[in-house]
Amino acid sequence: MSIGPIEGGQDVELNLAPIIDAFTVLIAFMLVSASFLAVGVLDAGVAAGGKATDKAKPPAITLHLHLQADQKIRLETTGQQTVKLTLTSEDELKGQLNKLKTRFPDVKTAILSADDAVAYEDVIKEMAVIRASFPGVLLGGF
Amino acid sequence: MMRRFGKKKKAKPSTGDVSLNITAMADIFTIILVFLLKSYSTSAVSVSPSAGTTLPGADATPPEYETLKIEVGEKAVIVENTTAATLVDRKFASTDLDEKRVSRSLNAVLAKERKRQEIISRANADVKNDGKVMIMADKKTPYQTLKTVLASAAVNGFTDFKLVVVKNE
Repeated sequence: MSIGPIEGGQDVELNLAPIIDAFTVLIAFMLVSASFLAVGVLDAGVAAGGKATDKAKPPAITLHLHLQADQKIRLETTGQQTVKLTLTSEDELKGQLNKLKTRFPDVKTAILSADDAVAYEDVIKEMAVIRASFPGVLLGGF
Repeated sequence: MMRRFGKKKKAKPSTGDVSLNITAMADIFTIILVFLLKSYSTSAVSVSPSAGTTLPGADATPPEYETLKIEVGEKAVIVENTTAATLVDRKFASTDLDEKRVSRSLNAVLAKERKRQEIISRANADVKNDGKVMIMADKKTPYQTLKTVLASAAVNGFTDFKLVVVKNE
């Protein structure tokens, strides 16, 4: 039953040219249609808009952050604690947000607005910092 | 040694029958194909900003499903691949804005899109009319322009914004 070497066999060579042709077309198609950009989305709402719930309990504090054109951040809270601060660095902002988060763990949202001249990139950067402490960011200022 | 370097090899007599060895080429192509298949984006949502639009970077979650797309470029605001409003220096023309700082031209396009969504959701229960909208804005867009886009979307019931960013590695 064992299969031994075939005696008198012919030298058969696989024709690779059509395979190469197919591969070239496939690679060209994939290179054209492929998206190498990994995109994601950041959720944001409007500060004054959307569906309102009648029975919703108002949060302990309302946190409002305003990004100024000079890159300073104005932090204001109203409610159980009133705070008005002007922050100059991201670390300062992180520290203040962590303090507020520790004191009011039930608060989940913050309102972010910016001066007209502030670039979208800077708004996104601040959003990312805020989201680390307050996952819900509402865009305001309009 | 010197004699060896100095020696010229004798040229082989040409047979005229030249065949290209394409086995190695096939191997390379297979590897490239496997790499491309692996890195091919399998996301159900196709997000492709126009040339010239650079998205900002941030840590974000991948988009889950298709929604209405608004792109804010350098010269225009594009809604679903159709130019809805033109921008001058990345800003809306003052004549295009109403007293609530809503763009008239963008508002008209978004109102049409909203109506279309309502008709589709009435006919097909699986399609939700949930007010979600994807915003693809260039990273240099001033907040003033973004505010107008958001306000124009909000007055038409699009209040759940998905800001598209490039994921940080």
